[in-house]
Amino acid sequence: MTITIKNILSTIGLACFLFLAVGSTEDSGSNSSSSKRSSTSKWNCGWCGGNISGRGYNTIMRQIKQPANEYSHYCSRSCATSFLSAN
Amino acid sequence: MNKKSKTITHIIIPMLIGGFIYILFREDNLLMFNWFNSLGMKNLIYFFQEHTLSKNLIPNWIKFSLPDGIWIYSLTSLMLIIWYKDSSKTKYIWLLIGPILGISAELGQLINIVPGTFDNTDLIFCLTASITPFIFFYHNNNFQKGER
Repeated sequence: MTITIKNILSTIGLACFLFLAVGSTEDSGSNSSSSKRSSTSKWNCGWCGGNISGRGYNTIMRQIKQPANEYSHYCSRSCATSFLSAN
Repeated sequence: MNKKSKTITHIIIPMLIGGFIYILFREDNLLMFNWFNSLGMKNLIYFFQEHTLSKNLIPNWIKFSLPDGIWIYSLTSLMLIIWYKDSSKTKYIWLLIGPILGISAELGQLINIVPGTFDNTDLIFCLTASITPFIFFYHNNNFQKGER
């Protein structure tokens, strides 16, 4: 590959974008208790049983919300609906 | 549209939008917030966060998926601007690097080799953002040819 000005510009551009991508990742040393969507840990689904690794659902004032992992109690919207109709 | 206008429209403005989404609506456990703190920008960031909509009012696709799409869109646009009218084969590697990195990172999450949670919405945004710059630039070039 011949080194041209375009190759140099592309490399610099790519490096800048990778730098931004690194900045948007979670700080591994952070002990923040805030919501983490990228966590791979599993959450208990509560009412319906089973586990979920992504975002689940929650019910607030009888409305179904899709919150971040920590506040998820139901694996699916239908599971949350089932909980609401049963209570 | 000249290169300067293209750079502003397709790279700088989208990246500013993506940056503001992260600063205003994401949690402060991201690495970039450590960098902001190191640069003494902590108070400025808090000021912006306090004077915007609550994070809970923003749909998840805006907070989590749109920035991924913007990243791929801007990187691909940058490569299209740099490699416009070039006839070498190298250009195809550069043009595809954004879509390849973005989509493979998302698929890597699916098979648990990349940290994070796979999400269909993210993948849809990645695919759309990979194709859109080519459509815009192809359309724009055809439009310019038609004007001549």
